[in-house]
Amino acid sequence: MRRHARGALVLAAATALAGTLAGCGPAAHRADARGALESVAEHLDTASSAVATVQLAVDQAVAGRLPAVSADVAASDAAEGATDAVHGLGTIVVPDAAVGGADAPALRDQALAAAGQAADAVAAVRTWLDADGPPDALLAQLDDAAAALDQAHGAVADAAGIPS
Amino acid sequence: MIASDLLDVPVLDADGTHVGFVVDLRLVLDGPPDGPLARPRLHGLVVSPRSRSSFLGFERSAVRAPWPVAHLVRRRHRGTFLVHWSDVASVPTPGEAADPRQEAAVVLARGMTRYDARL
Amino acid sequence: MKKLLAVALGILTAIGGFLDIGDLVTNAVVGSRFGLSLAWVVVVGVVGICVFAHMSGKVAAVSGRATFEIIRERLGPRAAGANLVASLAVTVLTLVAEVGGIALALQLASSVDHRLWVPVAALAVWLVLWRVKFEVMENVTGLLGLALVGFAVAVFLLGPDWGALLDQALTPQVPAAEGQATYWYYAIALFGAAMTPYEVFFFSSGGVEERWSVKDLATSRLNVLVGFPLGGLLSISIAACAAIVLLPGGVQVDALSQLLLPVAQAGGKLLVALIIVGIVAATFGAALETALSTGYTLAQYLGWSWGKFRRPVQAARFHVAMIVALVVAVGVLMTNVDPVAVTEYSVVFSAVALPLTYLPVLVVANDPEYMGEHVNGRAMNLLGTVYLVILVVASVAAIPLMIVTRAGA
Repeated sequence: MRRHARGALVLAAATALAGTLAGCGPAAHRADARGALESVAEHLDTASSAVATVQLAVDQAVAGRLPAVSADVAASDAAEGATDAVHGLGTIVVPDAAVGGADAPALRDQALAAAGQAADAVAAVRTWLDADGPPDALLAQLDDAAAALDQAHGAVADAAGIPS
Repeated sequence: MIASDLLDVPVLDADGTHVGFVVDLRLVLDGPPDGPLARPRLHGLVVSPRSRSSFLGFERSAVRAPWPVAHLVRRRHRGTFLVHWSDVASVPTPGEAADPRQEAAVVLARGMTRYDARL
Repeated sequence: MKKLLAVALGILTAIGGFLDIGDLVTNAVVGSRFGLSLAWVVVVGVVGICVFAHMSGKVAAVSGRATFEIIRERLGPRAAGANLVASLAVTVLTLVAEVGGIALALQLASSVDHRLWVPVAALAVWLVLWRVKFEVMENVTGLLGLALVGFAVAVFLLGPDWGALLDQALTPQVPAAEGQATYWYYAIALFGAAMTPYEVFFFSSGGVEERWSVKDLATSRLNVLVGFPLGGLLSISIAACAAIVLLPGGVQVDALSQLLLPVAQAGGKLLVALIIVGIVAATFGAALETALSTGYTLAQYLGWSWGKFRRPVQAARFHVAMIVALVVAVGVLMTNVDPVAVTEYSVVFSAVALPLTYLPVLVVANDPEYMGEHVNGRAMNLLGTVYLVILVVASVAAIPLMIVTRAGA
């Protein structure tokens, strides 16, 4: 009886550990091309979310509805998210193969470029918050980044056959 | 001897057949006064045939709720009986490890009586 | 009049005390990804916490002893030990999340990095635990936490399409972009956030701290039955804020700062300031409660003297246990983990530990030796048993769903 209990406890601990590892482990270990592209799409989502966040934050800071300190925190959190996406995209191993009629490594490169553009745009928000000039150029830069991310996401989704 | 020397220990009858595990001790307060209460005396051991797990208080026949839990616990412990302390032939001595592979056990006397363990 | 005031105060603190970092983060994440399609889980969770908080409050009021002491006495060391390990682990994890939450909330008000706020927050929590009286501590954090009503105000100011929101909530559907498994994973997370195990231990030990008796039973019932559902309503309004502003914008919540965006849009700087005060108070209050709960569970299992009604010198081990828990929390946060991620894991592991925490409460509330004529009635036992089944299902499903969905990615 006691042995069973101990066995069950070990099993439970092992499952918890496996779950945590599976949850936190690097997505880079997904070997197949389609899986890799799914990861690419997820990182693009993260970057898009970061851009959308700062778009909202800038709008409200301009309207005088969001305190500057809070806007700064939102921007720096978003910058972290966007940079994470760039790093994540950089470490995904994409097999040199064609998926859904598109070249997988080329798709990854497009995604990486878009995420890089997004990270730059998000970082520019913090500079803008400090300088407090007119937001037009900044908003245009964010729109461009969002468009590039959308385009990359669409291409990846088409190739991997996931709903975008 | 302390209670945890007895609790959870396997129980064998006089022929060495496994009959269960000690899941509880029954004490009676009929000794000479000792502080606010009478001194407790060990009346017997509660032996459950299959499980070392806790009775969760459902050994008392009046406690029946919540029904599914009570039912499951009773089922797990069905066949539980009480042996009087006088029917216990030997108990494991603390510190005595005759054979480390063999678990220490309580051995019951020949001709011991199984009493109903319900309260 | 004085009695009425006491009841009102109890209800208000119950509302303010209901929300913690787990509710804040999980509801915002869920709202931004699933809209209100998981609002029903909050309702299920709130009914559950009402049932079990009421039970453990009743045990404390009738027997004058905390639930965990009785669990240890009645269930024996092993069953109570399993309960202790499970609830202590989850409570410490929750404490880590709450201290991180205080730091994040202070960062929102100051723009000073949250990692710098962590030691300050932990020190403040410890000082309050050491010096401030239980009632004062509870009432102040509870009342300030009431500032989170700002989320409900924000929903009204945003002027949403009420019909569409109601439709999402009443006829739940898995959004097209999300998988079935992810939906259920977040359902379990929300459930765990609403029913966090520390709440029952805290509630019953708090009853002893405040020296409840059978006379106070009606008051305690009212506090729970009115306060917690209103707290649940605030949870849903957080999800609604996220659903109205963040979901259409394509924002997936992964930071506390994103919670402020709908609020800013709705009510401007004033409402944002109010919400920040509310978040600080709610996480601070919850950090106090989780730290106390680690002390309570350990001390009650091991038979140490415990309680804030004793001077610290008379309950030294109880206070040392809380200090150790706080030091662990600071240590974990100093490894640069993201407090929001810790929170997301803590609510899921809460769900895993729930049956071990709540089964003993149900058993003890039925024990005539402690409860006398106040043992659970049939209806309460039926509810309790139904919830036990839900808890076991959620607990068993949590880890496999975590693996399948890669923690909700």
